[in-house]
Amino acid sequence: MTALLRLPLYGAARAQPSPGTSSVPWFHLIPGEHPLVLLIQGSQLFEVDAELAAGLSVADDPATDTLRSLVALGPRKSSGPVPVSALSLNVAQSCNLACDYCYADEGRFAGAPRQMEQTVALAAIDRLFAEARSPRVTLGFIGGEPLVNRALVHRCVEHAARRARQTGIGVGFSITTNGTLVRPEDISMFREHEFTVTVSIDGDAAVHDRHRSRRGGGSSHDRVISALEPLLASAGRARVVARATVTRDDLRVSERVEALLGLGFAEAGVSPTRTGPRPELWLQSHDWWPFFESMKLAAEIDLNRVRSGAGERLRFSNLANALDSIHRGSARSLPCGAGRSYVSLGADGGYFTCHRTIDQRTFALGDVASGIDADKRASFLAARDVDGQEPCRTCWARYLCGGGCHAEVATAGRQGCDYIRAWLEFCLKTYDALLRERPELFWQPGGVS
Amino acid sequence: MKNKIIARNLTARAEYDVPGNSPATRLESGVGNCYPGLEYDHRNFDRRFFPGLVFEYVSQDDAQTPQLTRRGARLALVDSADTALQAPPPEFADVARALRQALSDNGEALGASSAQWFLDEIEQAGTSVILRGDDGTPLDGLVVWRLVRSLRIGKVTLKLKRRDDAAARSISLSGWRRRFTDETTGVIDASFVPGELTQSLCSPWMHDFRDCGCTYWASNHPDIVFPEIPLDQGLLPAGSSDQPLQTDVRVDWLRSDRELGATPAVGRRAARSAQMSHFEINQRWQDLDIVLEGREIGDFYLPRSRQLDNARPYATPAELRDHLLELAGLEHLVALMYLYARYSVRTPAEITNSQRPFLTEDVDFARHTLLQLAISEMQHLRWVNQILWGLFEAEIVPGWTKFEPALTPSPVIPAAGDVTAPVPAQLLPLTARTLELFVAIEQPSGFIDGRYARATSTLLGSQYPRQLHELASAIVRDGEQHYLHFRDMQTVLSAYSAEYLRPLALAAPDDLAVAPALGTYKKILDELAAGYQRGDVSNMKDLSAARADMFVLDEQLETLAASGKGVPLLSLFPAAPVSPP
Repeated sequence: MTALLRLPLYGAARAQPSPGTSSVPWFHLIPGEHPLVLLIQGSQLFEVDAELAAGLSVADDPATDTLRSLVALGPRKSSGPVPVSALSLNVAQSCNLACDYCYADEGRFAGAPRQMEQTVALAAIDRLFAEARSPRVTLGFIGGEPLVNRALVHRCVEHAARRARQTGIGVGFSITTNGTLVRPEDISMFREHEFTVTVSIDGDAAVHDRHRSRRGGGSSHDRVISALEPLLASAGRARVVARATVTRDDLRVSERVEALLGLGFAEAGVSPTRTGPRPELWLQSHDWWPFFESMKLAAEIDLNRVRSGAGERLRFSNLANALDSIHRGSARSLPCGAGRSYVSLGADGGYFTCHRTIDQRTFALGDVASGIDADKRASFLAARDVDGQEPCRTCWARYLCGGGCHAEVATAGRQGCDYIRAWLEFCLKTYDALLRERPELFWQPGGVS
Repeated sequence: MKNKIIARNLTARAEYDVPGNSPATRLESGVGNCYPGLEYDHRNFDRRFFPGLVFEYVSQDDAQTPQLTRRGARLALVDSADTALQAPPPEFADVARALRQALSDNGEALGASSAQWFLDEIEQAGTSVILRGDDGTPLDGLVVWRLVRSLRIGKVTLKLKRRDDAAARSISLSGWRRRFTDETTGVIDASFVPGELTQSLCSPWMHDFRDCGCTYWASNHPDIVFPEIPLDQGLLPAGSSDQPLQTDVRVDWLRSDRELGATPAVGRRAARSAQMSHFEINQRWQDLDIVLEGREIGDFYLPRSRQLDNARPYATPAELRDHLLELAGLEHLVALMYLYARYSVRTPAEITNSQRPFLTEDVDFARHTLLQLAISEMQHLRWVNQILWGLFEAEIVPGWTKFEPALTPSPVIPAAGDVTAPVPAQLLPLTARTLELFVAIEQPSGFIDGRYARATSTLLGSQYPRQLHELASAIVRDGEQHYLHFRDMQTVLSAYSAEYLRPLALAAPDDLAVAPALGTYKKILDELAAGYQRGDVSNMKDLSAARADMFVLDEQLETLAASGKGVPLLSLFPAAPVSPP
């Protein structure tokens, strides 16, 4: 816990607006051996000399004008709707596991367990292709546990692949699964169609089974491993990644990530629990600092793997994705594509802003028969532009963060903002350092990960 | 140095326009070593490692009869004018004062013409290195140099000894190891004189560069470049020359024929014979220009990309709006003119039994290029409307309460540049004269070009939304290509009289055959109007519909043209007053 005191969060010399004023910062200074300046609007990252940095750390110093004369601010990103290019299908709103932290009410989203009809799924796929304006679309399968409805998944893949051939629009597939029901024919499909397979798995058996039990009890870890073994051993053209959920009863990150990488996953990442049926598992305000320390430790282990030559790519997805975003200069006024370029279809044929908001009226966007409701989409997005959110509006990290998961913000508000800023600042510094040490990492196809 | 910023991530690199060359061209990125042929001999840095003194590192390793007493670091010069002595780094101010005094006190002894002073001992941070072997013989110059090379920037004490007079007292001097290049800018320390770093090389680095080729060379050097724009030649707003055919054709930097018109040799072997020979490089190395931003620089350098923004801005947002409205009309008109000209050209399928072997390819080229340019103008029309919409939304034009998309073609092509008198709006088949008109319209620094330059510089003003400037700049850059395309087309079609043309005549507006096509065009305009009315992405639906209808219109115009009927698209607009030619 003493580690908390060493956090380099708010140096005395930081260009932050004072509370109660309307001033919105346009750059963020990160002091250090190589001082960095992030131009907030376009996420442009510059190194500045020590003298300029010293001036920038003082309010109203002429250095601010100097900086303004040296740079051009990137364009403000639009947050309005764009043609949908990604769709996820809730093919099964039921699950064979009973994880106690599940945001989706064990897959049922507060309703009766049910499965998607084939006509609904195929109609949604046709609509995706017909309305797409991009060279490539993404089709995801989620649930519940999507493989509960295996036959439909296979049918949809076949259908989408045919549409792709007909329209010339490429298609990428993804599935989020608990892994326990994966069969050899699924594995063949994942390889053939270059699936991104995201497996919900929390770490080693002891960690995993604490919250991810089978219905009626019993270890699900063994099942996941035995079902996935052939795929992990030889992924072919599929990409198999692990996503672990971190609950407040065990904030360790590196142990989980290393265990998962050891199992053969190409990448592993974590998500902290902020919502769900058991509040005692949600991270509380004083949990974010130890969690940040855990994240840093996991990142350092991954970085050392790359630095020592033991790995060619970063495999801790949270770090890899953050560094890729920083490298590209991603600046977004929304946290994700939900409702903008991405929608999710519930088992009953209703569109929702994403897979986490299935069956929630406030997030509904029409149905597959009449199409995605343009007005609802537009008003959903307009209401969530990060520049209209508090306290996001004046936060330097707003275009890197985007304001936080809509679904979580709706139920739990904005938690852990100091953690997010600390993590992003850590990633910005790490990016700068890694770009010095191993610039080639950022120029390989697919980025650092 | 103050105010240095370095772009780190991709958006920063894209956004920050660094004048001059990249850091990869700096000395510290050079391929320097102590053997001949590369860019500089880094031993020459260490000649001046100690402010005020210049040493020569004398080696006898390769001598047939080595003279051991000549080996080592021989004092070549006491340079009391050394800038580092006069203006030392602050941390060495005291050391410099004492050193100046010591050099002055020992000036006579050190400067004696017969004296042969050698470096005998170096001390730094408590470590002394005696520059003699165990048997007392002096170390070879290359060994001494390596030891000097290992010094850190910081205080150093030297002992100098005379070799020609063993009885003479030795001299100790305290100073510091010089910093050879400025820490932040990379600029070489001012005490080095031009040529000093390369003086020990047996050949200019261009020899090796020529032999290795750019792909092998480890640091950035020019190989294929744009030639210098002569001072008396005009520049386009985006920074390129107004004589693009002369100055926007890349040439070999090492070319032997330095005339602008020298044809670049294509291919490795061909390029080689057109390049300067080694001997020629020795004779004429100073003819090889410095290259900045890909272009050879003669006497003056002005960052190209900034020039676009140097045009005279419009005085008020309202003035800017009015000029943009005018530009929108012109973009629209020329798009229609290019389209009409395209349909006046036969398709490759319509070329039968031609005596001219390349006619099929040439009509294909002309039709394709015209369509491309027409589409480009349509895109500009959309962008201008987008800029107008952005201006309206920003609420900076006083009294502008209703946004109306600009979709009426201009009734006239204004006189400017090679368009010597206003030309009334008209649709013409692609004759040689029409082509001349197109070249004149797209002429660099012509009417359209000049107007956009001013719009661009106006949009740099802080009251304008930043992205509008980006859009306007994109149009300017595009426009410069159009001119080149039409010039190419002129060259290609000059071989023919009219055999590439369809027998096309403009139909009367009330001709029933053209009514459907006019209807489609009207529909497209309505859809565009609905789309442009909303400048944000919610206009997607209307614009998609317009695009779909453009395919319909394309088919209609093509079919009619094949049967000799040109569609009078301009007839949709009530005749506007046209100034007399």
